[in-house]
Amino acid sequence: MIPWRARNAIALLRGAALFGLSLVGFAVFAGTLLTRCVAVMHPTVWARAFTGWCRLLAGRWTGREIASPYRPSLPPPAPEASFWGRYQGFLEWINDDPATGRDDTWLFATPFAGGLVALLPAGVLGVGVAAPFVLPWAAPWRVLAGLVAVLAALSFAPAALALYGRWTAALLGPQRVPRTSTAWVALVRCASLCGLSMLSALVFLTQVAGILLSFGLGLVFAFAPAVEHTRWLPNLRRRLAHDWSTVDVPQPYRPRPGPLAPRADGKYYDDYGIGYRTPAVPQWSRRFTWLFRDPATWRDLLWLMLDPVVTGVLTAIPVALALYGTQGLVLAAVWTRFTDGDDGDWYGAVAGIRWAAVPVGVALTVLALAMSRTTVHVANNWAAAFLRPTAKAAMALRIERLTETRADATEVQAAELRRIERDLHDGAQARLVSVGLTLGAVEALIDKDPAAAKALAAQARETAAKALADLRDLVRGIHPPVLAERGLGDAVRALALDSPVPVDVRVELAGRASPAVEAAAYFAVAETMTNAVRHGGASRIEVRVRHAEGVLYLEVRDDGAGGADPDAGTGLRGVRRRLGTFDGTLAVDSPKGGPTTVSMELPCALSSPRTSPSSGKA
Amino acid sequence: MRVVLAEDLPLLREGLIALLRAHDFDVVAAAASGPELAAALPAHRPDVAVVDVRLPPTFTDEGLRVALSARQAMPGLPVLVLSQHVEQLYARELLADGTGAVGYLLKDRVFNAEQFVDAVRRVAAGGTVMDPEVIAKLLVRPAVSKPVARLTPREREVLDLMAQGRSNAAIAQRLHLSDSAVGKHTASIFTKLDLAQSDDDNRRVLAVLAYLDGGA
Repeated sequence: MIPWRARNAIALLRGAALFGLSLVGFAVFAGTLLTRCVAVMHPTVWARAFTGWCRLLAGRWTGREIASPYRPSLPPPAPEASFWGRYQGFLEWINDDPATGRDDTWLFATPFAGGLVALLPAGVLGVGVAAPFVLPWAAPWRVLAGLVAVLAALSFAPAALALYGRWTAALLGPQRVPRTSTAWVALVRCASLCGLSMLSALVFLTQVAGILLSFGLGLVFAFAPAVEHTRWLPNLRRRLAHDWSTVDVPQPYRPRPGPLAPRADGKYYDDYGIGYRTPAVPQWSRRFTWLFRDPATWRDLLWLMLDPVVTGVLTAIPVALALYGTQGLVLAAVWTRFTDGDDGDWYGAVAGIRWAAVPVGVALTVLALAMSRTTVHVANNWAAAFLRPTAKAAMALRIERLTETRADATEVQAAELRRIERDLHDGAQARLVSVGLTLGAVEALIDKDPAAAKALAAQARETAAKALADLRDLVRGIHPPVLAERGLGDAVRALALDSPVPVDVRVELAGRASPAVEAAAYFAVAETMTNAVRHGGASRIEVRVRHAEGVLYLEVRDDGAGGADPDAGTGLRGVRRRLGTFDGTLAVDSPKGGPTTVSMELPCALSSPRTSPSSGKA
Repeated sequence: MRVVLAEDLPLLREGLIALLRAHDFDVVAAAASGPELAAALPAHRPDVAVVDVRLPPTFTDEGLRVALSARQAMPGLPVLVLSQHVEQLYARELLADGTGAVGYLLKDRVFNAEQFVDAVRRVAAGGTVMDPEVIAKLLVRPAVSKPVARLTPREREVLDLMAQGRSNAAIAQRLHLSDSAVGKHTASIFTKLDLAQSDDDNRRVLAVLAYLDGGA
């Protein structure tokens, strides 16, 4: 029995110590908060030493090791970066790391949550020790009560410590992947949707107010902000429909008009042909028209009006059932039994009988849980039906996208042709002219001075060889021969062999895509690999190419410095535009410090089944 | 020396035939497509085949594939592959069987008739000839943790020339070394690449193969 008691006593003492530590943590948090007010983030990084220590201690004392969740430390900044540039990189690194916020939460909340739980056994022990002296009962009872409290404190001390460990692991450990929703989670989601639908009512009133002000009172400036700045709510519901019920709901809005350019006379014109000296007014009127003419605006409004009723009532049912079942019947029935109160036959009683309320309450709660998931899906589908683009709007959006990508494609093509023209003009063409000239001179000299003619002929041959080399480079840039001869897989392998860093290539293709798609995919991979070496300083690259269910997946992963941004650099943006022509997409995952993964998808079909799953290292 | 030639462009085909004949080669067959080449090789069993990579009817790597399958049927059949572009990928495939007697050159190399004819002869004699451009591409990448990384710069130079199919004497002349010095270098290369004592020609091929892999 001794080891049992000793172990429990140790757990109790550790719990008390951890509570003390949590108070220190609160102070640390307050300190970093102060420096953060003046944008000094270094103490926040130093505080990681403290949380690291807490993590270690919690892991060791509760027997559950907690891994460190931080992003890798910053790569050394470019030597030419200014002080502010470096500091900005540092700020981004610390602020973008989700672990920073989770550390804060732990430091701030532990004295009131996990720490308090850890302290609880010590507290109960204290009460137990004090009980014989303070309780107003007869002596044996007082001692007995104290003894019971002490034993209770000792027996649940390890459990309390374990709870503290879970709390700490949840916040200081690596973020866990969210699990599929359980009935409980779905119930909470029902409650959230219910709340959001009430918000819909507010937003509806805001929009209606905006419309009434502008069309009733002539305060036309009220319309656009009231509509545009409340679109976050439908957008939130679109996202929730996707995240919670995997219903894809794209935004149906027409694209926002871009900045207005002045015409030749230096004036800015609105859609009615009236010129202004500054762009403010026509810009504003364009925004008004954009919102007013968009059918999605009015569908949103209709949805906002109906949603409080439909979603509100729908989601309120399971929430009400659970609340009434648990709070109103089960808990109330138990509670009134102890306090001897009588709340009639509403709380804690069914047909005037309190014990009958318990099974009924349990049944209602179970019913609520059983219907919660379905309710979330029904509510999300209802929202999706209203909020997704209509066939017409989807078509308009599609046309918009096609116009954009077609413009990109023609632009890319024109630029390509210009480059080819220039390369031919300055390269092969010029060299062939020179060959012709030299051969002419050879002809003239061949009888008079055979030695000089021979030297010139050799020169002509050299120039012709250079012209060929120029043409070869040019051809490689237009359509690499190995791509035409072997297809995408071997072309990527050839690319890997020519790369200055080791590249691991894995290809799973059961045939060949159309030449245009192959070329787009090839150049996308080539550009991404070049970027990885040139900007990321990668020392290893992995390339995966596979085709499944009508989509060609390309993945390029490198161990470089990371921080690649397709919106900032021209390289990846060019790739995105190029893939866009084929309805392809590009996604970049590149945290500061690496690694970088560029995933590209190209919808396409494969022809001529020729199974060659193979892998190779280069 | 009997040669089978495969080249689809008539102009180039006639030019190559004229060039080879002028240097006392006997061009026994001139194929203009992949199937023709596939028929001519076993029929004539030439001393060397000079093959363009891209041939009709598919205009892909027809010539290379026919040459490779012919070498499977007739091991050690000397093949010199010509192309408008060189790829390390193709070079490896040609060298993969380790029997040597292969060449891989850019078409540009026919400009220098002497060197080209020399290359054809060396392939016919069982040597390995790699285009300098293939070698240049290899040198782009620093060899790491591979046997090739253990070579001294001078030994790499020697191996480089060995890959181009040069004999020890030719290498000595190029690098301004004595024959015995080159012999020492090659022996050292073979030791460092763990190539056992055997037929010298075969070891040279294997050394070149190791060199190509060293790029990885």
